[in-house]
Amino acid sequence: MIVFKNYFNIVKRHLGIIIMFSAISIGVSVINTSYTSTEDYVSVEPKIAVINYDESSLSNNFVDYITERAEIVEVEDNEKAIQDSLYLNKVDSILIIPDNFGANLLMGNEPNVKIKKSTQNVSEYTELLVNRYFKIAENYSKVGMTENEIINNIEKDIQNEIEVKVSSENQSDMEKLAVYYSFENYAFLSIFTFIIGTIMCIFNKETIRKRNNVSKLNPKSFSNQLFLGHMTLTLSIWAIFILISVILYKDLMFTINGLLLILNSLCFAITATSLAYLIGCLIKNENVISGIQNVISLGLSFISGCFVPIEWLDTNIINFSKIFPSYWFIQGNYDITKLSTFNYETIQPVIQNCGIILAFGIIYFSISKIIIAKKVKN
Amino acid sequence: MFKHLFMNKMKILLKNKAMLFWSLIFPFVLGTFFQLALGNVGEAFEMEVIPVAVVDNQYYQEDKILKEVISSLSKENENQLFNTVYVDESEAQKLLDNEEIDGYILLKEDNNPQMIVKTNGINQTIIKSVLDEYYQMSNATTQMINYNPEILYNGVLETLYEEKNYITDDSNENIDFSINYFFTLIAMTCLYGSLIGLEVIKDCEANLSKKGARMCMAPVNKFKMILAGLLAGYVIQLVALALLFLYLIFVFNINFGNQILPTVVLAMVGCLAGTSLGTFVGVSNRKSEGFKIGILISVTMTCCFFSGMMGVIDIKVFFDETFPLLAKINPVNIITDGLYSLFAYDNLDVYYNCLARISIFSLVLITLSFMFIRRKKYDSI
Repeated sequence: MIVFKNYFNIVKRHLGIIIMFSAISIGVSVINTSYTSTEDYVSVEPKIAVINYDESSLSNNFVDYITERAEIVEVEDNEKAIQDSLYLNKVDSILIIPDNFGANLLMGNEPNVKIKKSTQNVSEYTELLVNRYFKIAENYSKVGMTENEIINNIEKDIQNEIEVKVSSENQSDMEKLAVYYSFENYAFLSIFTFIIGTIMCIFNKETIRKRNNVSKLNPKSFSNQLFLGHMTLTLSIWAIFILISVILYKDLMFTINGLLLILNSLCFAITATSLAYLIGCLIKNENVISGIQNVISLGLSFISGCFVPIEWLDTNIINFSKIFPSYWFIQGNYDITKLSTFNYETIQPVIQNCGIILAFGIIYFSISKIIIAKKVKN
Repeated sequence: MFKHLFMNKMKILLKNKAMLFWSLIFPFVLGTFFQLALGNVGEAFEMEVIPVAVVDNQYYQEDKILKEVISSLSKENENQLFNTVYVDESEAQKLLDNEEIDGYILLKEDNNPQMIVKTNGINQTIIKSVLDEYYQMSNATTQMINYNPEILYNGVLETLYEEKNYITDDSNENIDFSINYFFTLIAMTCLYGSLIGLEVIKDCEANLSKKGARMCMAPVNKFKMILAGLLAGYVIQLVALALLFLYLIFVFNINFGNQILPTVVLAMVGCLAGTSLGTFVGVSNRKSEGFKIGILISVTMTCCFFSGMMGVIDIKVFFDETFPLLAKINPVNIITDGLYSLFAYDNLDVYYNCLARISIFSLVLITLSFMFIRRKKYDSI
């Protein structure tokens, strides 16, 4: 096992940059997960800012009504603040109630509230809430009720809400867990390609390669020991990622969902190692490692739903991404976190998914073997 | 002499494949990935018809108003909100389990509708809101009749279930957070000028490379030599950035706003920041070239991450709010904010602020680099 031993001597020399890269990736994963907004309520609360120029009792009561159904965000009343909050996704929509709105509504003048929105579907819900309130108010005024009567009656009406049953629980934290695990796609591809590429370049240096070729060590054993070294290193990094997820999401990780996530992630770590090994076999120059590392990790993360939600992607892109393990890994994570019943029928697709990920790994490893065999022959 | 040094350095740099990759190819590839990933983003946020099921039982058949509401919302027209299937309860549960519907509506003996969903989400919330509305309207009708029974005859009740709009849309069409990805891409390309700066300085400093040692022996003013080299690198970076702008604007139709001159000035100062960062990292230590490249790329990518390049824009908001000082000196963030300000605001106050910050960033690094470079004399190397 001289190659294996020597492998870790080289790792020791590059330990600083390996730790730096891993720490950045882990830090970025944790921050990314913490700041992914997930829906915590049976009713999604849209983030709304209300700018009220009308100080009538009706419009104040409307603001209270919205406050109960939305997450109210304070936004300064100037164009820049409004624009920023919409662009930075701090609010889904901003409602601007004009002066004299309440009086005009009660007089039957059909005034309008202005809306500035960023996301179409969430704003649609806001519009439903606004229209409902004013429709009832206007009708009450038509039957001759005073402003106070209208407010009192609306308050009674809006207490009536239908009963909702949610069949799966803990969805919000589970979703965060899926985001954390899916970010491993970027982290693993980036770290593994860099580390394995760097180490392979050292072993592939012409002088060292020639020296190794004349040694009595069997080339097969040499490449196997090298791969074993890679596996040991990458699985140690994988274990750190798992450990952090266990610390952050203790309750969820000790469930069947958690175990399946670990399994899925292990399969991907093995496949990512094989891919990095294949790249390492092809690289001759140390300077190209960073380029390949970034193109592969960022590229696959963008088209497979790691950086942007898969729903944003075009169907053609999704179909294209299916030829890479990243898609199956990320899809697997989301499928696992959605599972609420566990039997052969529900778990089988997850296992099948893991099989697909590993199959990619075997393909990459086999291609590396062919390349190595050709190199030895030459 | 200066022209000679400039031209030769230009030729040398253009033959450096690794450097050309980072300045020219990588931003193009990344821009293409952005477009692939985000090209469809507008549609993803559009309101879609929500698949729902209604349990078609005796209680539902008896509730004429709810039947009318559901059927009008399911009509195939531009206002269609639901795509409704009418099934029995077990079939509805099966459809929900298979995620073919977002939820189903069930009426029981007390005639109060119940909604069953599998997960939370905006579609589920909209279904609930529509049902709430129906429920609240029925209540309002009763209250109105009690208050004024005449309305049963004067037509007020008929308008109660009509769709009415109390909202005018005053949204700015320009606001689309996906543009932030392209702003960070431009900023990233500016910062990749650092690799050129590093390459130039490596060949000029005697303690960094053999070529640097040889160059220091030459009877050329060192300052002139470094300046010519950096200028050549800077020009290449500007051309690469211009090509990227053209690619994004004409191939992908990305809208960077109409303020061309301020955009160009910001891009030029941005590239200067990149070149000065590379120069600083190059002269400030004697680590290997590979290490320095690794540092520059990871620093740039981390700055990009905190500016919202990877993942949702919430990360940028988090970083801006939690570490305001770091956000103010993060060069990628400064350039991204500057480009955004040109795009979004009518006045240039924020733009000038960003321009000043990125200029200060460049000046500080240039000054520090100069302190490392100056007054170095070697007896023997």
